[in-house]
Amino acid sequence: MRKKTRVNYREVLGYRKRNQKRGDEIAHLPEAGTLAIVTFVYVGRAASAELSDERREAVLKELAQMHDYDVLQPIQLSELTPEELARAVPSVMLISDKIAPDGTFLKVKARFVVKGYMEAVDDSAAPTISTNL
Amino acid sequence: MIALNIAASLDYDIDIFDVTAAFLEAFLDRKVLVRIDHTLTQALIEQQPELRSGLLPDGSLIVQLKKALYGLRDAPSSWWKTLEGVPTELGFKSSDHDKCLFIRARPQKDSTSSSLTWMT
Repeated sequence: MRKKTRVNYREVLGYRKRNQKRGDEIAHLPEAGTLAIVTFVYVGRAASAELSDERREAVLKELAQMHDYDVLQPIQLSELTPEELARAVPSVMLISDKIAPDGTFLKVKARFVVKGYMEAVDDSAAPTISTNL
Repeated sequence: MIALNIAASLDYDIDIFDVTAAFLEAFLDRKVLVRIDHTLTQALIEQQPELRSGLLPDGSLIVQLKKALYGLRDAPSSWWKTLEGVPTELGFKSSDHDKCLFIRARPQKDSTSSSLTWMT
């Protein structure tokens, strides 16, 4: 694993432009000074061989986490109604390269997420701490 | 915030911790199926062969969720419901001012309140 490697900022941006054509990538640059870490997010092509070793490793680590936390449960396709199958929520693997504002490469992080916004579920709320005095 | 005020005025010790991958600890109260892209399927099945039964002809995979995942609409509330029970069991009461603040009054000695805050 690479550590604290200098990354050429322009090179990273150029990479983003080249790959945007594939339509599988979202690059996100915060305004200067708003965030400590610049993050590039790559969506899809998750565990495919096209990924760099570091990104692939991050993906496998995130998948292993699904196992560790016992999140996923097998289903029998034959027991599902077509409606249930159609309602299955799509998921993506988000892969982000964390780069410090000074161009220092920090790490690659992958996060398995579901596109919950596509689901017809009533909005639910959870309390968060009050920051008022 | 109010917890910090109370802690400061009563000279409490403060402990802070973070639950990593919190949503992966949150149990769901409904059946959620997830479709996993074919690019991930192989790697996932290598780790958890039992999931193979949800494999579709196009290579994508259907699995059921036992616990919440990031992005799920009810993930925060599921986590809250999972977490809420813990301080309640220990005799804490959720504050009317801030539901995320849990208070316990100890009858013996001078009354001592402890607090627990949580944020997403």
